[in-house]
Parts: sequence; C-alpha cells; structure tokens
Amino acid sequence: MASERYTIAIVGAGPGGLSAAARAAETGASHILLEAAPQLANTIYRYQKGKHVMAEPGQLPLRAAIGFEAGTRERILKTWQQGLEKSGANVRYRAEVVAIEGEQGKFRLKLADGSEVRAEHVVLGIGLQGNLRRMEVPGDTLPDVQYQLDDPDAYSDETIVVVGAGDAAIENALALAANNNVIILNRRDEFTRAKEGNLRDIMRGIDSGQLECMYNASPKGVSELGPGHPSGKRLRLEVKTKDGVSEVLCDRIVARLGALPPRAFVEGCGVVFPSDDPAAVPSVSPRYESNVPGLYIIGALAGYPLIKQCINQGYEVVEFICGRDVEPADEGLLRAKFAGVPGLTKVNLAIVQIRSNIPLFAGLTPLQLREFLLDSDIRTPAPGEVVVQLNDYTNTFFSILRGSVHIQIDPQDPSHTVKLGVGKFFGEMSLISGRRRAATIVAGEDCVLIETPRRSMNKLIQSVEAVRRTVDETFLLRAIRMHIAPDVPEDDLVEVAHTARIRQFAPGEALFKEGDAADSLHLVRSGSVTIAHEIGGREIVIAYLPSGNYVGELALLTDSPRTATVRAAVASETIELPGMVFRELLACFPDLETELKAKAQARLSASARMRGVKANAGNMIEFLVAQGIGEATDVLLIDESLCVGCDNCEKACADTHKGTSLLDRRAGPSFASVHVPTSCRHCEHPHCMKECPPDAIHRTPEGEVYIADNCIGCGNCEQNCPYGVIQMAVKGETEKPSLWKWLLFGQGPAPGAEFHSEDKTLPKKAVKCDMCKDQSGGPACVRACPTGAAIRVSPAEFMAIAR
Amino acid sequence: MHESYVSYRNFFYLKVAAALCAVAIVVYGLHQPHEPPNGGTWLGYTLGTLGAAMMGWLAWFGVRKRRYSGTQGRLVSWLSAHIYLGAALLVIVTLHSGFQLGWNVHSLAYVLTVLVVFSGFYGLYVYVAYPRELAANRGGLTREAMIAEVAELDRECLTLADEVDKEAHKVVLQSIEETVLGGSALEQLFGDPARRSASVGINKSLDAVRQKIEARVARGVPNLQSLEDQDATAISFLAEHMIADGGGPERLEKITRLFELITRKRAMVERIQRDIQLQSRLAFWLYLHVPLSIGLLAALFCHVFAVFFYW
Repeated sequence: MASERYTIAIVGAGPGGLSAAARAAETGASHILLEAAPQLANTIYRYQKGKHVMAEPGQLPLRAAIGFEAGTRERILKTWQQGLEKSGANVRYRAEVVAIEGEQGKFRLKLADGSEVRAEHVVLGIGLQGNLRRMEVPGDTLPDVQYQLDDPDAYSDETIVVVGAGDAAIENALALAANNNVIILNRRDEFTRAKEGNLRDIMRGIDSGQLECMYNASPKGVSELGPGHPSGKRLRLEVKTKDGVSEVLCDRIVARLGALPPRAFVEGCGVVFPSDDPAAVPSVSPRYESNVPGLYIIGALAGYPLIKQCINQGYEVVEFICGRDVEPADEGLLRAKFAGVPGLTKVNLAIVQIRSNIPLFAGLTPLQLREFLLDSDIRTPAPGEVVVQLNDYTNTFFSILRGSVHIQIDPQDPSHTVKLGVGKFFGEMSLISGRRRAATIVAGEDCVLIETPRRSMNKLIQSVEAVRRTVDETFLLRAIRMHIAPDVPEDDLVEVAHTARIRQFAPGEALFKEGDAADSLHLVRSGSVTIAHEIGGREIVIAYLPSGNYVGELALLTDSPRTATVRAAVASETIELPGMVFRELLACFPDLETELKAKAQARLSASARMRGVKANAGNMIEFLVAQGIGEATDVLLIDESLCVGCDNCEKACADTHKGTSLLDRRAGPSFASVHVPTSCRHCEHPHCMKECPPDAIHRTPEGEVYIADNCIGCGNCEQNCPYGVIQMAVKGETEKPSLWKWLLFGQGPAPGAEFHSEDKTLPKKAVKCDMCKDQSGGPACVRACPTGAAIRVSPAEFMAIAR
Repeated sequence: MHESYVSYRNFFYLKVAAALCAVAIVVYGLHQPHEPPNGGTWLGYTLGTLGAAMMGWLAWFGVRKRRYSGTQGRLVSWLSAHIYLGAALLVIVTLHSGFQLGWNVHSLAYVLTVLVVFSGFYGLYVYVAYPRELAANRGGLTREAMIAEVAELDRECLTLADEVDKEAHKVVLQSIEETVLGGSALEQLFGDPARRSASVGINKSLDAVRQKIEARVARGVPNLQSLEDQDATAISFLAEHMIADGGGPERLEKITRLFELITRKRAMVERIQRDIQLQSRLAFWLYLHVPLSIGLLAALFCHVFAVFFYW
C-alpha cells in the first residue's frame, strides 16, 4: 500500500496537536495531523454543553498560531475549528494510529484502516481520555456497560448502576437520577475525592432517597440476563461488599473511573515509563523529546493537563523540530520577577540557585518550579523592613533564598529575636491554622525572599509528598516550641516532634472522653475544640478553645484519667504528643513542668468556676459552636432583647453594597436572646476559597474575606459556603438612591432599598460580606444599628458573651 | 458585649442632659428679671435659642438614620443622645416659657413639644418592652416560616377531614377560608390575638369537631365545655369511650388527630397575630412621633417668626 511522507506527523488533534499543526502550517513545514475521532479536540467536545472552560494559568502568555481564551465549550471549539481551517493545516479525521515503528527520520505510523504514514518526526499529543479506566472484571465490555456519559437525558425509566465516587460519577449519577432509578457504587465508606458542592448534592440525594448508594462496594463481575428474564432487566452485576457478594439487577452500568495513560500503545512505540504506577507518565526532555529520538510527547500524556500549556507546547515542539530555539513562554515573566535581584539575570541561573539553596524545593522538577515561581513574588526587603506583621491575617508562605530574617519572639521586646537563615521558610503557621500571624518578622541584610500565595503553596503541598512532609515537620517543631516549650532548645525537641502524630477529626468527633486513660496531649493545629463535662448524664460544654491551644496536659501531669471530654467543633487537626515522650521532656526541664502545672491549675479553677455558673453559659457555647462559629473569625450577633426589627442593618448593607443586602437578619437560629443571622463569618479556612477558578477570593491583613473583581460568576463559592451567605448578583454601576429626592418628592427608591442594575446583559457575579473594608468606621450593619443590638465579634470574645 | 442605647457609654448622654437641665434650673432660679420670667429676657432668649437648636438637631436624626453609609459615629450613640437630650427639652422649653401659657401659636409650639417628647417616651417604652417578647413569641421562627406552617397544617387538616366525612371537610374548609391574618390597623394594634376574628373560623371548626366527639360519647362523661383546655389524657379518655360507643378505632384516631392539628394551627395563628401586633406596636408610635415633630417644626417656625416680626 502506498504511503505518504511528511516531516512531522502529529498524533491526536487535542489542544496540543492542533496547535502544533497550525504552527507547522504557518511555517510551511510538511506535516499531517492524525485524529482518531471524527472531530477536533474530542475530550473537550465531550464536555457537557455550555461548560465554561478556563484558561489557566492566568499569567502564562499564550504562544500559538490558534486562538484560546476562557469561554464556553462551544466558543472554544469554534475558534479552534476556524483557526485550523484558516491556517491550512493538513488534518485527517477518523485516522486512528495503532502502531508507530522505525526511528528518527523514518518513522512508520500504522493506521487502523491498514494505511501507513511515514514521517521524520512524530509528536504524540494523545492525552489520557482516549484510555478510560475500565472496571477490569469479567463482562466489563458488554454493550450496556459504558465508561462515558454524553447525554444523561437520553435515558429514562432504567435501573442504572453508576460505579465510582469522583466528581464525574457523582455528576452523572445525579443527572441520571432525574429520570432513572440510580444506584451509586462507592468503593469506600464515604465520598472523599469529590468537590464540596458535589459532595453536598450527592449526600442530599442519598438522604432524600433520590438515589441509592452502596458503600464499601466494588464490582466483581457483569453478565447478561437474556431477553426473557422475569425481572425485565438486562444485566446482572455482582458486587463485593463487606458482608460478601451480592447481586444487583440493572439495565445499564456507567463506570466513571478516570483515565490512564495508554501505556501499551506508548510502550509499543519504544517509550519507557519511569515506574510501574498505572498513573505514571513518560518523562520528556525540556524539548519534549522522549527517550526515542525524534518522538516527542506533549500535553497530558507528558504530565501537563492544562489546555494553555498544551497549546504552548504544540507551538514550541514544532519550533524545536524545525531547529529554531525558543525560550519557554514564561521566560519573560520569570525574568521580570528576578529583575530586582542582583546577580540573577538569567532565569535558569535563578532556578539552579533556588534548587540548591532551598532544600524544600530541591525535589521539584524545573518545570514544576517554574510554574510555582510564576505564582510567587520575589521580594528584596531592605534590612529592618517588616515582612510579616504580628496579628495580620495574611497567609502567604515565604522561603529565604538569600540573607536572613529575624523573628521577634517576644511582642513586648522587639529586640528579642531569633534568626532564620538561607534555605529556611516561614509563614507555614498561618497557612495551616488559618489564624493571624504569630510573630512579627523583619528582614536582615541582603535578604531575598520568595513569597508564595496560599493557593499555590497548598497545591504544591498536596501534590509533592516531600514538600508536605517537610512543611508538616517544621510546623510541628515550631508549634511545640511556640505553644508548649518556648525555652527548650530546638535540638531537644526534634525527638518529640518525630513521635508526634497529626490527627484529623470530623466535626463533633471526640479527641478523648472523660474517664479515658490519659496517654497523650493534643495541640490544636487547625479548627477548634470544645471541652465538656458530663453533668447529670449529659455533656455540658464548658469551654471553647481555638487552634494554637493544647488540651489533655492535665491528665499527663497528674497521672489520672481524662477529666473532660474534648470534641472537634469543626473539622480540625491536632498534633498528638505521646505521654511518655512528654513526661521525659518534663523530667529534663523541671521549669517547664512547673510552668505547665501552674497553667493547668489555672485551667482547673476556671473550669470549676464554669461548673458553678448556670448551665446556660455552657449551652451558649454549645449553641454558638453548633452554628459553625468554631471556625469563624468574626461573626454578626444580634441581641434579640434590643432588636426592634427596623432592618437598618440590612438597609445599610444594601446601601453600601450597590443595592444588594448581603445579610438576612431574620433568618438563622437564636438562643437565649442571641440571634445568629445569615451573614458571613469570615472563616479561618474559608470554604468559599476552595475551587475558585480565577482565585478571586482573598483575605485582607485585617481578616476580611472578600471577592475581587475578577470573579467569573461560576457559583462555586455560593455552593461551597455551608452558611448560605454568598449570593449571585449583577454588579452594575448604579447611582445610589438620593435621600432628599425620596424624602421631599417621593422620587426613586428609599435609601437602603434593594435595587438592581437595569442592564440585563451584565453577568451575575458572587457577592458577599466584605465587612465594609473600604469604609472607615467598621461594618455598616453595626454602625447603622440604632439600639446597639447588632455587633460583630471574634471567637476570642465568645466567652465574654457566654458568661 | 452588646451595649444598649439606653445605657450607652455608661449613660453618658443621660449625664449630659441632666447637667444641662441642672444648669438651666439653677440659672433660672438665680435670674432676677425686672418683669416676670418669660421668653423675652436674656435668659429666655438663651434658653429659646438653645431649645430651637436642639429641636433642629433632634429632627436631623431622621436624616442621619437614613445615611446608612454615614461614618459620623455609630447610630446607637445618636439614638442615645436623641432620647436624653429630647427629654431635657421638656425642662429647657418650660423654663423658656417662664410658665406663661395662653391660647396662641407660642403655646402651641410648647404643647407640641411636650406631645413629641411624650410620644418619644412611649416609643422608648415600646422599644424596651417588646423586643424580648417578640423574640420569645417567635421562638426562632420567622414570620414566613410560621405562615408556611399554618398552610401546611391546613393542608394536613383538609386531607384528614376528607377521610372522616363530608361534613368535617366542609367545616375545616370553612375554617381555612375564614382565617385572616393581620386585619385592620386597630385590630392589629389592640386586638386580642386569642379572640381575634381570624380565630373565629378555627374556633368554629374546633366546636364542630368537639360536637362530633360529644355526639359519640356515652353519657356520664365529665363536663366537656372547654375541650381545648383539656390535655392529651382527656382526649384519650374520650377515645376509650368512643371505642366503647362503637365508632371504629381508625375513625376515632383520625378525629382525635384532626382535633390536635386544629389546636396546633390555632396556636400558630395566635402566634402570628401576636407577632404582627408586637411588630405593629414597635412601628406605630413613629406615626405619632414623626408627624408631631414636623408639626412642631412648623409651629416653631411660626413662633420664632412671630416673635421677631412683632418685636
């Protein structure tokens, strides 16, 4: 069979492949783009209709012969289609490559239809979605077993088993449940991998009986029932559960188990994978060349899942193949970041220095580090300049590239400092606990710092195990020093830190119970806890402790069982120090023991006082904690015995926020005349900040959580807020109602009335309480309350109310 | 933690107002004019100017409270000052008049001042007395939630009545149709929530249900005049008799349940009526205070104008 010859054969018309083809066409290189599907960008084509596609990372410039910006699936596909046609690229659809043979200069690509394409270079941009993970059980290829779901509305009145517990499985199950009888099969006992919004929806669906869930269940085998089966169903699914094997009769199985690199095919091309992990991707050179010379891999298959990265790589790979050297697309941005640092004129040099100076980042690949640096700022503070201010609510993470910083460990005496040198990092306390900065830190001589935003740092911590471990260990050591043993030298604490464990507790879960044998001390690292005594068979909460405090020291000092029950008020993490190690530490440092005993004594007497106080005080703490105030930094509380219902608070809110009131005075529960209206609590770890695609939600140094103007109106935060305080509203520029026009002539809305922009074309964006951060005098709701009923308080002030 | 407008800053404005009154009284006592004390002496003019300035400032409260984004201090401090300085006006204005009253525009201004201040006192009483009661009556529910519950109870009652018999259905339906929340301004403000016309329909249906039970109960049952006061024991006592009477236990259960639901609905409607009443009382006094204040400002203008015009 005759075969064609090209300089470059591009396999896969995803974002990377089509970008490569467009660039090849633009520069006149002989090329062919081979796509198995009948259309471009099959993965994106299969997104649900109207889905908003992001163009992350935002700062990375696009370098391509085709256009791309964030928008709907339809618009992006159209742009690409038109761009590719205009470029005159040579595309062949329905051309599935089944094997690649040969070597650089004479590759032979065998297609499914038996034809062959010859090429000097091959670019593989086949992504991962072509290789969906199967159930790997007998019968997993039967016709009614599917691994994708294009249109949930195409099915009705069927019994459908959805296998999987990720976002795709949940979204499919919920969509199918509208018209079908749906059973979702979860291998674990909860949905841990899902986005919070999805998690809530699926739990609601299961609780309301809209769909059924089998936990700890995995498929064992599928068989066909045959047309005459009395049940009328088509499939029999055997399910392995904790109690043995059970059977589910159904019409269809939709398994959403993610995708894997198409390993067999890629290995068949001679490409080597670094490990046996099914999720591993082949490693490539900085020029995207695999271990097979002339065979290039770009996009998700090379470990770069973002569309913009793929497009840039498609462009760059063609440049490399054609012998033109290009700088990475982010080079200019990174160069600008290092511009102010003497001696670091070249980005590569800076990257080498960062990797050698800062052990934390030594394990990152240059590409990971570049991405990380793109989000970070390089700062060169003058000696003595304050980098971090005590009690600020900032939560960025700092690494020291050069020079040193000085930590003021005694707020009373700024000259009492501890030096932190090259390669060390700081800021992890606020990052992890979500609380105010614990100390003021000033720059030393010749200081160069890398300041990384919370989101990028969290991403790194979650994705690179070594970084997570180092940050956690350092946090542990510093937390123990800071809160328990400030005068014990660091070296003596290393062993203690090694024996410590990080424990996670769900809301309401007990750290330990009254009467338990005491074997450890807990230092609350994030979240907060309540301390309760059993009185008359009921647990009465007597105190509330935010993070940074420790519990359980009493029992360790006195050898007696636990004297109280301690529970997590919200999802919390503690550092648990084993009693044995703790006692050894006390034996070595008698001063520490004396100090701790004094503290414990104070706590005991306070607790005894609380027992004497009328039970209401404890109930009040319990009530507030039940309202989620355990994770609040600032909450609006209304004294019902003072509130006359004038709604001035809501009017003031609407008046200061473009006609939309961000609080609902009437809604929300009350206890002993304290009312908690629906209003933002400015959580320590704001739920709204998670999954904000444009990273538009921030916290000011004073602690206000606010939404910046780059909100895209996706509604994730509205869904994720457990307190229902975020709304979607049109943020048009509208004139404020005039008091005099309204008062004297009855024209226009009254001041404080809710009003909205007339312009219907304006998009809706998320709005929430920003504590009137841009106005002097504090939140308008509190300022406008005529009777003093409305106040905003922080958790530290709770106890004052409760008593 | 919450600081009330009454005791704001440890009664700061009460102290200011008291000091102002004390000074005015002392100076008035020491003052020996050639004529009987009146608004025309130097002290009279001083007190009059002070009073007029205070009235202007007190009236400005209506503007200030609508400047929601205003940053001139918290509104609670303005209200505290408004109350105590407003009360002090009684002393200032009385001394200004030198106790000379007659049938003229000057005395009209005086009378209006007194009325405004006393309507304010009534407002203060309302603000102090009702919020607690309002909150207790609501018990954590919003009015919308209470109304929704009534609607839900109505629906349940109707379904249940349908299962009992046609007559029950008719009675319940009628009670639903006759349930009116709110009512005229007078009813809202002063009506007794328990005896309001809105409850009439409900009481009627309760009566009907009670008659149904009575009709089936064997003789010798204790006085059943006020079944609504009886507790659950009474109902089950009746129930036993009804079973003895031959009424099927299912039917009995339904009637008893209906009775319960209607009783609950009545309680809820009463709560809503009470809520409306307290809320209206909290707002009503302003319909006296504000128009009287505007009248006072007009009278004050006439008074000042007349004084200078006829000088």
